[in-house]
Amino acid sequence: MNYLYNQQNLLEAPEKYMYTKYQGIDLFQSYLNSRNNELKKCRENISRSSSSSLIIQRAFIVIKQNLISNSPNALKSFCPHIKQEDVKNINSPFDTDIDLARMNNIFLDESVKTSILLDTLFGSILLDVNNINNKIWLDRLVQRFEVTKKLYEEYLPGFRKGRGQNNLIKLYWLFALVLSIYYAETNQIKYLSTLLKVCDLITSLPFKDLARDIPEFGLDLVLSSEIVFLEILLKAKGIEYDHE
Amino acid sequence: MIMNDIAMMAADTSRSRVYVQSLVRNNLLPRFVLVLGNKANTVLPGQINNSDFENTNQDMEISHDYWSEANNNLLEPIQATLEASSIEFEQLETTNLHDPAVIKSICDRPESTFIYSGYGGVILRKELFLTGKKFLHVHGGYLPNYKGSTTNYYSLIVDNSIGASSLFLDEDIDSGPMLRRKKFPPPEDRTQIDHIYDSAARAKVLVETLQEYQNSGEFQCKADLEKGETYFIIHPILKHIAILSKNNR
Repeated sequence: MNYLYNQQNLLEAPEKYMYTKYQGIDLFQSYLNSRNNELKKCRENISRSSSSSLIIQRAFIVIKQNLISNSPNALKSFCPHIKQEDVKNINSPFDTDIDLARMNNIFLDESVKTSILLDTLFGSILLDVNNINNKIWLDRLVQRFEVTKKLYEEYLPGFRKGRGQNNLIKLYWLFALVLSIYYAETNQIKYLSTLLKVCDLITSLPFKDLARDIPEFGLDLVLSSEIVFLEILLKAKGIEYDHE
Repeated sequence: MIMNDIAMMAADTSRSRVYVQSLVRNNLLPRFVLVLGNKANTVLPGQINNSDFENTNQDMEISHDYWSEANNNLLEPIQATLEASSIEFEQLETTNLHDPAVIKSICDRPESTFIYSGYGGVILRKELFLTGKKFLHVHGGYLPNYKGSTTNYYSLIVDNSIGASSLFLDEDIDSGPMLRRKKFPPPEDRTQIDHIYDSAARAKVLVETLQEYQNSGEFQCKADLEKGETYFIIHPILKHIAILSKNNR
């Protein structure tokens, strides 16, 4: 069975997911096969000398720490190809004053650059996941993505109307990364649902474009996180499926 | 018994069929039904492929009173049920709730309240609210905890239950005022939630809401629904987890 939800370019032909058909337990294997094929391409594409960026290292640490605390048995399934020596070298991962100040400087009645919002949300969630502003702004982004199936470069005052490009792969990846850390911290299923859709969109795009626009190790981390989140949920719900 | 101040706006969907059959069974007849037909050959959100249901056993054993409205014939056209029960209806060949002919038909009716059962994914706009009518909707989810779309799959994963809540629509999504809500145990066959059990849970709450209205002579608003979490259409992987979950069964 083919995984149906990333077979065509979802930026060109958005998937609405309405009344999706029941396909039985085989859907899980087809999903995993699809994601693992993408991971294989990622890993073949990484150069030996590459280092992972600070943002990827920070996200990796947070997700791993949450797995250690909440689902230690799943840790062995979480093995994104990130250079562990890079991660060990982070001494001061959080610049708290800067993150806090930036979050407080984003206003609904002003235009918002999506890349700045996502960067800021990332830092602010790591700083204090319970800060209500994080949820408010993440929910606004989720709502915009769920309704339009796009993320725009910028949103006009009121955060309804998008402006600029809506095909910036790095924005979708960064959104997926933010959703990953938020879900790792909160376990709220609605964010996992959106993460799955963003990953469908990303993996529906030509791999050469992903390799060009997403930082090295970045796609690996997002897809590895998405898979481990689902494996934890499947196990919690007593669902067993055939692993190929 | 005909409810003189109650009408219905019904898209030709499985949910509308369940609603009308349940209302008839419970002797709660709307005075008028506006049917929105789908002329096209394509199946719209909320409609069934008849072939998918032809081999389904529609005479299900309903072992629990919660599912008293689950035993309906989804293949029976809404018009057939209405004609058999002598309920006045008008059919407009449009699927657009905001079509001027729909607005005019609603405006021209004397009933103050329309039971709403539209096609999936449509949000009512100002034109409908300007008719001055109230639109009684039953949301598929337990409010205010589960606002938005496909929430019963989310609540199956989180709470192992599904829900339905009646409310009068306003221009915000699932924001009240709420009339009645109810939680339901998971159905035996979770693959039939979309067209059978979600509709049956809503129909049950609709019937109870209208029975309360019949008994008291007015709708009893319980609360406004400002708080709560808003959900969006569930991803198919999570939908399958909700269906196939073995824990708590």
